[in-house]
Amino acid sequence: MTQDLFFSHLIYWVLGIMFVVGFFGMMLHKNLIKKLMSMSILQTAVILFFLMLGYHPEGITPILQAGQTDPTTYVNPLPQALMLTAIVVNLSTTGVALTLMILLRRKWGTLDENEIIRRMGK
Amino acid sequence: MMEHLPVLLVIVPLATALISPFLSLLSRRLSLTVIQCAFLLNFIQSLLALQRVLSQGDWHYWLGGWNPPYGIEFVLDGVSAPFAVVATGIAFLVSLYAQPFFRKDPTEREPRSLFYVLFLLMATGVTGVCVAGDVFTMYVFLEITSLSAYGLVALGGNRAVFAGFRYLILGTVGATFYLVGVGFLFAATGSLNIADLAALIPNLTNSPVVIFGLVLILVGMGVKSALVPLHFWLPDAHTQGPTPAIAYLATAMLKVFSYAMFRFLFTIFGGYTNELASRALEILGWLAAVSVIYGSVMAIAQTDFRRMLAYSTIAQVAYIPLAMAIGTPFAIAAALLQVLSHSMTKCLLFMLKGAMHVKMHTTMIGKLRGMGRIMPICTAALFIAAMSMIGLPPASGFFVKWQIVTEAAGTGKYVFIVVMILSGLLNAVYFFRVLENAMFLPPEGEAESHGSSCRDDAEEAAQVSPHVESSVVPGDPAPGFRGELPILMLAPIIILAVLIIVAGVGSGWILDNVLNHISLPGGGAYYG
Repeated sequence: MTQDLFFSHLIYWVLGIMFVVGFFGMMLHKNLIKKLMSMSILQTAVILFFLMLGYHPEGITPILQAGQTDPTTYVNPLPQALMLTAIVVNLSTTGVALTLMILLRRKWGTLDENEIIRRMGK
Repeated sequence: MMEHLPVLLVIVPLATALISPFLSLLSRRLSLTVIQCAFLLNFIQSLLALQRVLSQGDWHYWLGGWNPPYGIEFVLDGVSAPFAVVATGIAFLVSLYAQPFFRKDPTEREPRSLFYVLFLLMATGVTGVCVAGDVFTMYVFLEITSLSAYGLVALGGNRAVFAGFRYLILGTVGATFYLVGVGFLFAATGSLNIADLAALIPNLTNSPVVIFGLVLILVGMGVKSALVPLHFWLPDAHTQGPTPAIAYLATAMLKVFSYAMFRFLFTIFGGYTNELASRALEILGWLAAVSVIYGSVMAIAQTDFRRMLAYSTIAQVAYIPLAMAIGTPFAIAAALLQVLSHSMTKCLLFMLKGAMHVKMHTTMIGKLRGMGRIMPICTAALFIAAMSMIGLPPASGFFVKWQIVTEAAGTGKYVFIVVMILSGLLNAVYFFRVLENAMFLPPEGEAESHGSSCRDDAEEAAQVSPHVESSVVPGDPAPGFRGELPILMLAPIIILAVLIIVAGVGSGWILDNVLNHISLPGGGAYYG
């Protein structure tokens, strides 16, 4: 029974772990690049989560085909369309973050959070 | 043109943001003029939209003619239309102020065109959130707002880059929580349209999926609107960023997240008609009360005027969830009045902070002595802003507090009354300290020369002998900058100071004629 619950929702467990890993990575890592990597993991987990919402075992491409009138045979295209937008948002966030990081590195010569704070205090 | 107004509200700043860098290649002047016109146009548009909402009720606009819940819908109603007016109005005034500010302030040398592009994008995002009729469009606009905010904060120099990066990390966590929450609601209902969700959700609030979704969304928005346990990014970001940017960030932009909370808790979940939403509102109310007290107490402990303002922002923004927790239509109207009042007041205070920067090279409260001699008009404006923050009539802040206290008494939430009064007293403590330094204490080393820097003050000028005129005064920048601020910087300050009083005196009229179109689920029509 528990095994069944685990394996039938395996992908959600994986996504949950990815989410938690990403979240704690963002909060706890002192290296800014690692923070950014954790952010990507977090965002990817969300994208995959949305795609899972539209997923359908043995579903087909959501294009009207001859003889396929039953809507349940299609994969839900809405989450995929949403995630295209979300990917663009994530891309811009990563771009802004990298830009800021370049500026930080140029000014303070390090990407370690504590070190930057220490050097700012001087 | 008129029937496409909701979408034009978003398109005007967006298009200007994209065009203006190219225009500035041709001519800087032209580009700046176009930007100012765009902000003014946007403000006029939102006024027209408000006028139409008031006369004809809610305005539903279907993009491309696709009907909801399949198509994307823009909605203007009794809450979002006034919000858009405040946001665009503040944006226009800040854009006026920013133009001379970057020329005059010796400490901020960042390219102005970059500032304006980001600022226009942020304005796009804020108006976009107001008109968005589905929760995913709202997410996209919230992210447009936040992304340009990270960039704007980082424009403030080296320390600001770090503050901006921290803001980015926490803001992204907030946005991701929101998005996952939306995913849960989508999984439960299969819809993203706000009106459609409002019909489907109230029957599903026993489902753990929906409960988890709501919690994630509220946590996400709580991070972004700096509600107390999640506020720690705000003081640094709002201290380090460039002044004109913060004048918008701390006012219209920060309240957008409270607006998103309102949309979920009231429009979708049904407010106090729904058990889940009522519990969420109660918790939100307590957190808001803690935020109000915490922000005010921390503001007292600050010696830097900028940081003091940042903490006071935490306290003042929390008035909105506090009023939401009271939950009557009149309390929601009070929350909107707080959006108006606090936007004007805090915007004015940040503009004055910029004035101190330009004229006195300091924002430390202890060094503001003699401000009244150097900038009499600005100091008068500071007095009005302080009145509004403390809650003294006839400034608008008083009427917000009055409304909230009345409603809290009406619904038996007596703790909130205590919080409101305590907040007013604490505000008085920290603002009187500023006012004492700025208005009553004489400037240091006054005898030699400080009076000469005051062109507008005839009394002072008369006392000063001519030879002092030429000497360079410490704490006073290049000779050309003596006296009051340049007119473009001064004009928004005077307008805001006058508007604070006008909005205070006319608050009854505003409540009766503008904020009377708030419809909450479960009846509760507006009563005046």
